[in-house]
Amino acid sequence: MKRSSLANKVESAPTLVSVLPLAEVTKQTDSLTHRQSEAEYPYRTASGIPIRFRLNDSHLLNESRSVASRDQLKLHLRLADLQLLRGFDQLLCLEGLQGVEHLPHQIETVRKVLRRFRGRVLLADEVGLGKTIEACLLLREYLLRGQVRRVLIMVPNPLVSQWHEELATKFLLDFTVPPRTVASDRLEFWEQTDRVLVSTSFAKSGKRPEAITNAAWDLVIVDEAHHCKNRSTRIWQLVNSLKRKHIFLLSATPVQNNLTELHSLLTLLEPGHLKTEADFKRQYVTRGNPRDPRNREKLRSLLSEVMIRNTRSLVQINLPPRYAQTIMARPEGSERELYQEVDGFLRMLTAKSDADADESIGDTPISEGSTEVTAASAPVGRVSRMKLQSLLQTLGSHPSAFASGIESLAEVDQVAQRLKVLATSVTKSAKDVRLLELLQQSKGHKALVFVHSKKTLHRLQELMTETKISFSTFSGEQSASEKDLAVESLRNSVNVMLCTESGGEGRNLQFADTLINYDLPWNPMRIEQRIGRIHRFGQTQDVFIFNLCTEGSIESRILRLLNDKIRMFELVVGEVGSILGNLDEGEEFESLVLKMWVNSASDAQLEKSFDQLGDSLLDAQEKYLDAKNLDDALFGEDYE
Amino acid sequence: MAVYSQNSVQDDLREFAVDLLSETGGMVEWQDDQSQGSALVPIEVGQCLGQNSESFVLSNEAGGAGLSVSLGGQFLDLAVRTLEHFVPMRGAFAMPELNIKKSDFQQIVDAAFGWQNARARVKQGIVGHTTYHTWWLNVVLHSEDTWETVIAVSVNSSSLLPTELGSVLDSMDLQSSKTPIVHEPETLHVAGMIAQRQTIKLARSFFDRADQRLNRDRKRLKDYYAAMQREATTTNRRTKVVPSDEEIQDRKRVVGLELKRKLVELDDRFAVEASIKPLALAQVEIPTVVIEVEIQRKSAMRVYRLYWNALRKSLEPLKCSRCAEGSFNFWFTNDTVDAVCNSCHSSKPAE
Repeated sequence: MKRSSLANKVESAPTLVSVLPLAEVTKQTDSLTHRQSEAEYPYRTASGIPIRFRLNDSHLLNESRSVASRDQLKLHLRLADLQLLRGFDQLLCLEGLQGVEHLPHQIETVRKVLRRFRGRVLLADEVGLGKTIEACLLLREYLLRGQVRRVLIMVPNPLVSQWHEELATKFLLDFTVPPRTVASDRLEFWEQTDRVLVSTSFAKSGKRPEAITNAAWDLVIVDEAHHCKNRSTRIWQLVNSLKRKHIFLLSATPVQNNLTELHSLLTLLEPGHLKTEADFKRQYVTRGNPRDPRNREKLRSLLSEVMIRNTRSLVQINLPPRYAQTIMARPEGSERELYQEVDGFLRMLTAKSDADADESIGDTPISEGSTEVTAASAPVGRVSRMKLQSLLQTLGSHPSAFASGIESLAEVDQVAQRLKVLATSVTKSAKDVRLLELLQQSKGHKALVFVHSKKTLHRLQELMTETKISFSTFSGEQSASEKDLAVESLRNSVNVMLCTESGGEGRNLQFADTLINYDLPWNPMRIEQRIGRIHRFGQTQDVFIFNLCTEGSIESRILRLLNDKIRMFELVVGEVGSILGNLDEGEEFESLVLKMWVNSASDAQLEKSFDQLGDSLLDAQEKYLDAKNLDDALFGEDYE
Repeated sequence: MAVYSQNSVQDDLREFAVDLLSETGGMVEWQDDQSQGSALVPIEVGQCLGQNSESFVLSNEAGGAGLSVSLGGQFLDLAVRTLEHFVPMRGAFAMPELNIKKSDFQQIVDAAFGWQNARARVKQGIVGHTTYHTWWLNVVLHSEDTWETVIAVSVNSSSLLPTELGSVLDSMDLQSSKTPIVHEPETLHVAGMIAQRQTIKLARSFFDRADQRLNRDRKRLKDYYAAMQREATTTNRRTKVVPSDEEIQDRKRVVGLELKRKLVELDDRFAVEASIKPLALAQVEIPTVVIEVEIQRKSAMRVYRLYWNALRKSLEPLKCSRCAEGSFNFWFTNDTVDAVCNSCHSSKPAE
């Protein structure tokens, strides 16, 4: 039998205090699983829990031979007293967070999980109440206390980059996403990497489950855990086989189709908590209707021992309505010419790229504001998908951003050179004109104007200055005090704040009521993040969202998809994640969009692909809504 | 236990940070009522505290500029590192002012051992100094929950027996000494053992809670898998196929293995890893009288060395020959005299 992680840890322990006689030791009862010898564990509790003492005196070896004064010794003891204060009453995870606005119900949940649930819980908050924040706070708390070292986070593929970024920027936790190489199939990778963030589809495929389950984990987090609803699936079996001390399952809709799914999920947490499936069905499921619970009160009471569900009505978060409008800009003159020519040029590049079998296929996520194509080493004909995506996105942002992005290609390609000249010649884009009109109409409202690229930000700064519109700027490049100043300026003196993607995260911007998406990120989660900046707890006014886009652009298609198909701008913040998590395609949304563009030879084909994606999104949404209704009916609004 | 408000914690942290930096050769300016202060320290101290310069800002706000002196974040961890690097943790002291009055040692011994059928005769009393080590040990229990405390243990470095000395660092009689620190590993070893025993007593409610939870979880698992075992014999309701004996045995074996695995996992979760880390050591020389005593019953006789120290003003116990605990109890037979503590005395005698 493979030795437990703990046994392994113990083997590598430093100096041991010699074994004491067993005078005070309660002898082990016969019900125990014996794996450690009496010599290894001289003390045991009444139930036989082994207590292993280690004398950690390694620091004494480095200690200088100089002699301490009384005050110096007391200093050591004062520090020890301060360390004792770090109990669960004082959450460590809250300090040093960046841009996380934690709400009272989230803190309450963290405390509950630490104390009552002992790190094994189904977090089933309604969408938008911050399950991810709760899970990350808990994770941080455990890490800071040293109770957890090895962590595995499993999330649906479309949410990987979002998790990765939030863990790093908000919670200051670096996680490794397994490389898409054979290295990830090897046990060493999983054993040697202490913090892994992996997509569920990647984790369960090939021989990886074996490697992942052979490594021991202190904490496992499974996002959108309702995918583990069926015991016969690989994902359920994988999670069930994981060696772990603590596990958090996250799902706003733990029950998708029938109540047995709840049984399957909770069996992952605490096997036997709901007895066997047959027992569970007998006691808690109405015969003939697997969606209808019996003995509700008893079931609820059982669930409350392993599941936390905060609801809007319970935490009293009721946001005012929000309204969205798309403003289409029709390019004229050289701008129009630019759009007409760019498409052909980029397709030519892609064709050459495919012919050259360039395979750096868009796995590297594009970073915020990266307008510059780092193509110095990539000659025309070998443009990677990442570069291609960057070019397409800068084109969707502003001609000036595109001109900057294509600069390195223009040095070696005449068509690119011509496109650069064309882009540079656009002094005021069609979107610029519509933006100015919009700001004119929105007088008296505080507006955030979001842009994706830095170059566009600079261009808009010039535009505002030229047209004498007072504004402030909030970007990732600024220092904390400059950012504070920008927010204060918007609050007190100006009506417009230009923001890059990270705009105002963690700052109170609820006094603003208007959001203008000057350009549109391809990832709907990012769009939702933008909306979440002002449509959040504390907002009292109706919120207006304006989406600017150029006719015929990829962004206009994305917008149509999100607005017309799933009516994204009317959804509660957080619902997009649940819908994307249900997408069968299992890829990052922006990768899907790029793939469709690359694989479509014509506009008609592209249109068709977008229609198909729209249908998938709609299916995913229906699946989500169906589950949501069932869960609402099952748990009610007052579940605690 | 003291009740800490956010403010008192912040005050304690601020005062500690000021003292730490001053002790490591720095100059600090941080007023009581200010949320920020400034420090100028030797560069290596700054680096140890995660700062890249000799001067930096101190702030009691998390994530604030410079060194954030708060309970969360890294401050306490950095402070541990800095203390370990720059502030010695072993001090040598003496209590020369304590006097020993010449008295009748036999009377003292008689008061400690009042037997009817055995006697304790003082052979000689030697007045001198004995070195004691007081160790402060940080004990942390890691299981599915954590528990932590600081335990102080004083050990007579000659007899290697634990001795109650009280809070020596607060004693008015304590003076610095230049005597080198000796017998440190031996006394640490004894202190570690005593800390283990004290922890077992002090953390009883922690262990009780863990026992309750473990038993509940074990029962749940066993009930569940027992039910699964029973279900292994049932006919499939849809297909109506009756499982063969072999299939039933296979299913039961799988369920049994799964239960075993889950129980192992459960035990792993609850296993307690207790770490004992020395925080500080005070070596104190205390005037003592070493009394040689002859203990005799019938033909059995043995000489013991007893310590009487001027701080405690009483005899220190002897070492139990079986468990090394301190004791004044003896076990007599016609041929043997043996110091045995109460708990060993009540258990069966050694063969």
